[in-house]
Formats: sequence, structure tokens, C-alpha cells
Amino acid sequence: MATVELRRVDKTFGTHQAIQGLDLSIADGEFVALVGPSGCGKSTTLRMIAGLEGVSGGAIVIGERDVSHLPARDRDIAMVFQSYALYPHMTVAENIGFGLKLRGTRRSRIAELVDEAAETLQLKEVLGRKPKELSGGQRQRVAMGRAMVRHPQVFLFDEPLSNLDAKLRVHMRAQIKKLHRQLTTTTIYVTHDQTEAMTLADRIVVMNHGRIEQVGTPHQLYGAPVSKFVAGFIGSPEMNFLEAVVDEAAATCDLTFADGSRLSLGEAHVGLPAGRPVTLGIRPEHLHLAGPGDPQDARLSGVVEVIEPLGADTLIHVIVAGRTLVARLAAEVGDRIALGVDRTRAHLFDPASGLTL
Amino acid sequence: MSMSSAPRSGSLAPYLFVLPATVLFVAYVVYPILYVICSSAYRWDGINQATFTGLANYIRLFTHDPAFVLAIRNAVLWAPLTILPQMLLGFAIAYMLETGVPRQAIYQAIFYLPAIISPVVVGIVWQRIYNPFGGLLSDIGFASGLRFLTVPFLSDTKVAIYAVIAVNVWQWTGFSMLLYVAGLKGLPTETLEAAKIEGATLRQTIVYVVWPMLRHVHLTLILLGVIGTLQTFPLIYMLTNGGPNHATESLPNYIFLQAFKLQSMGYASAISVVLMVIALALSLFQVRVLGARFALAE
Amino acid sequence: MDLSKARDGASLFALAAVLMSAQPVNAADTTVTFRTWSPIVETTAKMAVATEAKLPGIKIDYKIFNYPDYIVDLHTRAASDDMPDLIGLEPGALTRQYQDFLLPLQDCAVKSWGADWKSKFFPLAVDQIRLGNVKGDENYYALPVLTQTINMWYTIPVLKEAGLQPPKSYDDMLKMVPKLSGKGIATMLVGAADGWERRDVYMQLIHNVAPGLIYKAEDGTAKFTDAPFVEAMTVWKKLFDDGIIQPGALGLSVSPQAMELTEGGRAATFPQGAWWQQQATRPNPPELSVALNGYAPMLFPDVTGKGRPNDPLGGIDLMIGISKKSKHVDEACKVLADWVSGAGAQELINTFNDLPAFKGINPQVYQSDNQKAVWTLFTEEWLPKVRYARQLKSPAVKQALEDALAAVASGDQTPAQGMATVQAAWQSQKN
Repeated sequence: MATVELRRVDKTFGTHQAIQGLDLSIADGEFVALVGPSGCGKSTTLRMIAGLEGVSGGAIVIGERDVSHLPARDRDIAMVFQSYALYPHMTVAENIGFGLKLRGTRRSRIAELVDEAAETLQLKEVLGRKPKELSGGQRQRVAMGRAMVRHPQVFLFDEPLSNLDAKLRVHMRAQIKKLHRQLTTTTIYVTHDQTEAMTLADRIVVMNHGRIEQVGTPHQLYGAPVSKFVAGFIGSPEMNFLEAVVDEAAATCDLTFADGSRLSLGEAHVGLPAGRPVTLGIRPEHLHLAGPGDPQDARLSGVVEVIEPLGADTLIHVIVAGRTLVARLAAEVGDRIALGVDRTRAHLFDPASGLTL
Repeated sequence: MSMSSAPRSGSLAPYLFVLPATVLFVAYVVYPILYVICSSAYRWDGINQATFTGLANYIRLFTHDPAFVLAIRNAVLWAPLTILPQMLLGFAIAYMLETGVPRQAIYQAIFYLPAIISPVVVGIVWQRIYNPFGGLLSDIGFASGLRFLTVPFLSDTKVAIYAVIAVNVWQWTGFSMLLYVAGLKGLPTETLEAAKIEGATLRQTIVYVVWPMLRHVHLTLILLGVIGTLQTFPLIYMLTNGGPNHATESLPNYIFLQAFKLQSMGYASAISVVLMVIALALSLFQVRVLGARFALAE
Repeated sequence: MDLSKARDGASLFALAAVLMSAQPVNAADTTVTFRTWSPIVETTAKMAVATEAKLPGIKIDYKIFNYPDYIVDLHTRAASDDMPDLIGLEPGALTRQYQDFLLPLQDCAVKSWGADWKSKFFPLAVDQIRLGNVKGDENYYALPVLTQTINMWYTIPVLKEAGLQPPKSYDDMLKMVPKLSGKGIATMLVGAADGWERRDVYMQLIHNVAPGLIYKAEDGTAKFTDAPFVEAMTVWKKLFDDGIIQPGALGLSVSPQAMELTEGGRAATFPQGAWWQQQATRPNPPELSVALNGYAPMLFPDVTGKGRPNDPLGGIDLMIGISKKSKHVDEACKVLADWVSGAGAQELINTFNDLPAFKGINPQVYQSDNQKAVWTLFTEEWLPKVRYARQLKSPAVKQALEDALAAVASGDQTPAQGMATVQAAWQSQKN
């Protein structure tokens, strides 16, 4: 087990700069998720840590060792791939034990360790089978068994669940979480699915265009995103965004929208100059049907266009100021309703830079 | 069995559907085989009246024909000595090209070139290279002091078959390479990366992962190699014409010699029957033991 | 898989289509078909043009194959009863094999050249037509077009430069070796990978040791194991052991390898027949072959010490038969006669392809005095003297002899063992 540190890491492919000056410290035993849209550099970062890609600049340190220029096999890491990458000609037992065999572990010891891993992962019944005779979930577990059996310093996961169906994904998510609690091995987990990241990770690294946008606990990212990008990426359904202009900023922060309707954020965001354009961000769960407690200037009204019942709750699409807002509450299509805004939970972003104001 | 899907008794339709294939099979496979088996029981020049001689051709073949024995010996040598080196060399070249040679396509084309050259040209060129009287190898041999290169490769009855086999390997290694390149390209990248991370050295990656995962390519090459062995004709015909004194004789070349030059169609038929039995046995062996999973079929 | 054949077929088809569209065949024309391995296409084309000009109303459809392809083609045509009108043949076994498909041609000969037609041919040409006949069958199943001798040649400038004379005896050849081998020149350059070339040398050896004996062995009145045969075989082996024949000869084909080396000046002497003259008439010949300036023919040196015979071996190079089933026998006979002695023959002889079978046809143009002298030597001195055939009758014996020559030369068999296998082959083909 070890810490992982990325110091000013760069990666260029030809003239394309894929990763720029990445700094990241991962504590021993921590579970960190790298998230971001495709092409953001999360997989490249993982592959550089694994040693499958070289670094163009900077250093990668695992434990106390600078591994930047060590081959993959000398980094003492294990990786689970999206495709599982099992050896099709080997049985499950051989697949799991292969890394040990390469390191010259005694045959009887290999059998013990493989057995142990198979026990943990409920693979005992299929140890003699070839990968093509297994279900998707079983293959996934074999890939994990292969990683665990060597007790490496770091686990790397590259979108390990995206080839599974939704139900199995939820199940495996829990498995992985349980496993990490048991083994407490430092884990770096790449996913494009923010739910996976939120549920699994101690800390989440949001990446965009080869840079780290924000690092923090799921709670921090959800509550205090540093940018519109992070705000939009974390949370489901996505945060609502509305363009507006500040018209009165002395005592309260009042916004005017394109259609002339207004909203006062009260004292939450005072100090912005009048006439400044801003982007208002508000999560669906922070909108509610306006009641007597909601001041008149903290309401947005519109017509319900679509409802999406989810069972436990319902999402509605409301047309406000010419834009569609999603809210987590119940209504009927065609209703004209007033939405109360939880003003302390509203976010303002600079429309040009996307940064939180 | 459900009545609706069972053919109604007396219906001709199913038979009509297989009729064309059956007719072609009978005309181009069954009939010639029976014809050859039948001919092998005669003394016959292929044109004029034949005399029935029963098993005489076979008796002569197995008891009085040193050329036939040499042809069989050569087939036995030919199969492993061409197939294995072609596989190993072809794989080695393919692997090197696949892992980090710029302008890979050019090298592939160069290595594949011999396979598309006419056997006539190959025969002429290699006779010239092997010729100890002013040929390339002997010139190099005399200039460098490597005297083994000055051996009369094609005229020494003990060496000639290996010299011919070497030419075959030269000619077909590029073909093996091409199949291996295709096979390597088809290997999942992540699996190879997994091996890398698990600690496999280059040698271990090749031995434990890459080579076993190319099983379908190996099987294809073995199948084609065995078929090639039994069909070896043009190269030998051009390079040595089976000589000297049948030292490089192949069954097809010997069949041609007997059937047409020596006007012994009956005897040639007997050799053909033997060749057919060998081919059949090998095919059964391949399907049963190796399994008929080949690159081209997958 | 022989793709070249399929390609030939396709191109021939395309060619035929082009010809048909360009030159509509007159409905009254008779097409005479001809299949052969010799002469080459270019020569055959010239012959066809000349003959068609002389015989209005006759078109000649010809196709030339490699020899092995030709015998397969002929075999297939015989089996499917689709023989061409005119069939290229060799004397002996090949003619015998197809005898039932061939028309006796003495009538055609009489019609073409009169009752004394035989006297108008060189004697060997008439004699050897019936080499393959069953005893008692007096028919002529083909008419000879080209004849040949087998002999030796020497390369004039090579000998001159080394200060040597053409060898007359084995000792002469032996003495040449040390003077030539250092220069990379073979005293006798042999493409011994080809069975016929080995056999041609042996035929000249046995002709020196015991003239005529091998034909008796063929008839069963002598044995191939008799001392003279073993002696000739021993000389053959000595030619290799003494370095007279170049190293690696058994792995070298006559065409094109040995011929290229010869034309490159690497041969002091070499066994080839009268056909070597045609080297001069190919387009852009190498320097030695230009106008045949570099070569002169000679008889095989005496290897016995008892003197060499002054008659070379020879035979019919090409003869042509007419299919029994031909629907145009008269036309085919006219074409054949023209190729033997008419305008077509003149075109053929002009190429120096080989020697004529019919007396009195000479090339119209000589490129050099040497070429003329060589031609005259062949046609006026040697050809009339030929008594013995270059060919053997039985393919099996021929093959056995060729195998034995390779086995003895490579050291796998002794000369006596080699001849024993020939005798055994003779015995088994007789049964």
C-alpha cells in the first residue's frame, strides 16, 4: 500500500497536449475517482500511472519511488480493464494466477492465493472454465481477482463496469466498495459515470481538457463546485442553468432574465456590480412548489411541459424565461406553477470563464 | 419432431435443392476418384488398350520403386521442415514489424514478395544462386572463406532436398508473416497490456500470451502447409525436376513423370491413390486432433 | 495450381476475339488446326503466314505449348476425341502412343513429292519416322520437318585466348582443365540437371566405346550390363571426377542457366546439338552468339584411345502427323508438305531453328562466314553420315538411364550398379 503522487505531469501526443501540468496527491488507502467527459485525459492519466504510457514531463511517485520511467511490471500496481482483458486460452484459475507464475511464485502458493481470491469473489465454481464460458459479471470478477491476488500497492480501474448492464453495475459497485473496505489498497478509478464516482470514491478528481478542474470529496463537489463545468458534471439530474443580468446589487442580489422576469437571491451574493451578466445555477432538488413562506421575489413561474415519474419521486420540466428547468417535484402537464428557489443553494457563475462567483 | 417442419414423405423438393451440389460433387470429386482407383489396377499408357493387372502396380510401388520411397521420405521431411521454420520466422518478422518498425507496410511488401513470384522464376533464380560454378553462394563462400557455401547444393543427393526446402521456406515465410500480422492486429490491446502490468517480460508475453492467442493462425498455417506439402510440384519441377536421381522427388512430380513422360498412367494412378489416402488420413487427423478452427473460418 | 495456363487461355480467347473482329474469316476458308511444342511461336507464325499465302482458302490455327504442357494437352485431346488436324510429334514412344489416332502418311508423301519421295529426304529422317512402329507395321505415321545432330561445340575465343585447340581426345580435355578452371571456365559445361542432356552425353560416349550396341540392348540382343556400357558409364563418372565437367553440374539446368553461362564465355566446350545455331537468330543475342561468330561444332573427343567415330548421332527433331479423324486431310497434307519443303519450310530454315529433313533447303541469308561454314558442315558433311539415333525407344529405359547417370555422377551408384538398374528397367518394361 502506498501514496501516489503526480507532480506537474505533462503528456503530449505529437502536437496535441493531452495532459498539462497535473498535480495530484493520493493518500495511502484512499479511493480516488477520476471523472470527466471523454477526451478529458482521465484514461491517459491512469495509463501513465500504470506505465502503459510514458510521461512527457513531470514525475509520478508511488510510495517513495519515482516510477516515471519504470516499466509497468516494476511499478507494483494492478489494473482492471474495461474489456476485462482476460487471457482467452487460460482457465479462470490460470488467469488469476498468471501474474504470480510470472514472478516465479511456487505452484502450491499460487494455488492457495488463487483459492483465496476465488473465495472472496465467489469464483470457486468456475475456476476450471475458460473466459468465454463465463457471464459478464463473472469475467469482471475474474479481472478483479487477477488484480487482487498479487496484493499490489495500487489498484487501477479503467471504466471497469461500463460493459455490464445497469442492474449488475449497481451490484458490482457495491462489491468493489466492500472489497476496498476489506483490502484498503490505494485505488484509482476512472469512470465517466458521476454516480459511480460519487458512490465509490473518498475523493473525486474532475478533469476537463487535460487539466484538473476540481479535487474534493463528493460532498464538496456537490455543494461547492468551483466552476459551472464541475457543477454541471456532478449531480443527477444535471444542475439547471439560466443566463441573467445583475440589476441591483447594493443590499440584495437581484437578477433579471432575458424575458424580463426577475429573481432576488437576497443577501447570498451581494457585491456584484449592477449590469454584470451571470449564469444562475440551481439544482433540481433545490426548487420546490412556492408556498406562503417564499417571498414573492424568490419565485420563478412557468408552465409544466413534461413530467417524468421515477417512482420514489418525479421530475418535471418547466418552461421558465424561455428555458427548460428541471425540478424534483410533482405537478400536472400544462399547470402554471410558481417555483420557490432555495436561495442559499443557488450558484452564480461567470458566463465567460465559467468560474464560480 | 414437429410435423410442419418435417419433409412430407415423397416430396422431391429437399432433394432438388441438394441436387446441384451433389451433381458437381459426383462429377468433380467422386467420379475422378473412382476413375483413378480403377485405373490403378491396369497397365495402361493412358491412351491405348489397358491390361488388367490387379494389384501389380501397388506391389511394384511398395517393393521395387526407390523413387517412390524417396518421394515419401521427402514428404515426411518436407512437412515439418517447411511448416515450422515458416511459422517461426514468419511470426518473428511479423512481431518485429508489428511492434515498432516505421513504414511497416513497405517491409511487409518486401517480405511477402517471394510468395507472389512465379515458381518458374524462383526455380531459375535459386538454381543460379546455388550453382557452385559461379553462383552467388559459392562466390560469397570463396571470397569469405565460408567453405560450406561452396557445396554443390542441388547436385549433392544428400543435400539437395534441404536446399529445395530452404527455397520453399524463403518463398513462403512472407505468407506466414502476413497471416501473423493479421493475427497480431486482431489481438486485443488491453490483454497485452494486462500481461505487461502483470510483469511479463517480452519473452514471457510472447510465450504465454501472444503465441497461444494466435492458435487459429498456427492451425491455418499447419493445414495449408500440409496441403502444400502434398501438392509440391512447380518449385521442384523448376528447381531440380525431382533430381538428382529422384533425391528431391515429390509425389506430384513423380505422378506427372510416370503419367505423361513415362506413359504409365496406370502406375501413376496407383501413386495418386496412395497420395489420396495420405491426404485423407492427414485431413482426418487435423479435424479430429487439432480441431477444424482455422483463421479463415473464424 | 497452374494459373499461367488459365491466363494463357484467357489471353488466347481475347486474341481470337480481336482477330475475328479485325479479319472476318471467309466462309469458304478451311481452318487447319496445329498443336505442338516446337518450333517457337514467332517461327510458327511466320510459317503460317507464308503457307497461307501459298495456299489460298486455308487458314492455320496454331498453338505452341511448353513440352510438358503439350503432352498433357495431347493426352486430354486424345481422351476427349478432339485431336488437332496437325500434331507435333517426336519419333519413338510418343508417336507409338498416339499411333491409333494418326493417319498413315505415305499417300500424302507420294502426292506431294512423287513415288521416290524418300530419296528427297536425308536418310536418317526417313529411317526414324518408324522408330516407334510395332514390328511389321510399315506405315509412316508422320513426316519429318526438322532433323538434328547431337555433338559438341567449342567457344572459339575462349580456346584462342587460352592457346588451346579443340580437344580430340580425353587427354586433350584433361590438359585443358588446369588452364581454364582458374579463370572460372568449364572445360565442358553441362546442364546435367536435365536428363536429356545427361543422356545425350552418354549416347556419344557409348557411340565411341561400342557404336550401335545400345540399339541391340534395346532389342534384347545385348545387355545394358555388358562391359562397354559400364565402360562408357565409367568415363562419364571420370568427366566429373577429373573436373572436366564443371562442379555442381547435376544442379544446373540447360535452359536458361547453362546456356547463359555458355554465352557468357564460361564454357570451353559444351554438348549441344545442331539447334545451337539458333542462338544467333534471337533478338539482341550476346556477343558470342552474334552471327554465331563465337562457336564452332565438333565431334565428341575420343575417350577410348581407339579413335572416335566420324558419324555423329542424330535424328528427327520434329515431325508432324495428321489426325485420323481430321475433316480436312487434303488441306492438312498440303500445309504439312509446305512446311517440309515449301515456303513455310523456307521460313523455318531461315531461323536456323534446326536442320532440315528435306534435302536442298538452305537459309536465304547468312550473317557471317562462320555461320555459313557451320551450316554447310552440318548439312553436307554430318547429316548424310548419321547412322544411329539420338533417341531410345522405351521411355522407361530412357528414364532409367538418365537416373543412373545422375546416380553415378553423384557417387550414389557405381557404374556397374547404374547399368544394372537400366537393364532391370529394360526387363520390366518388356514384361
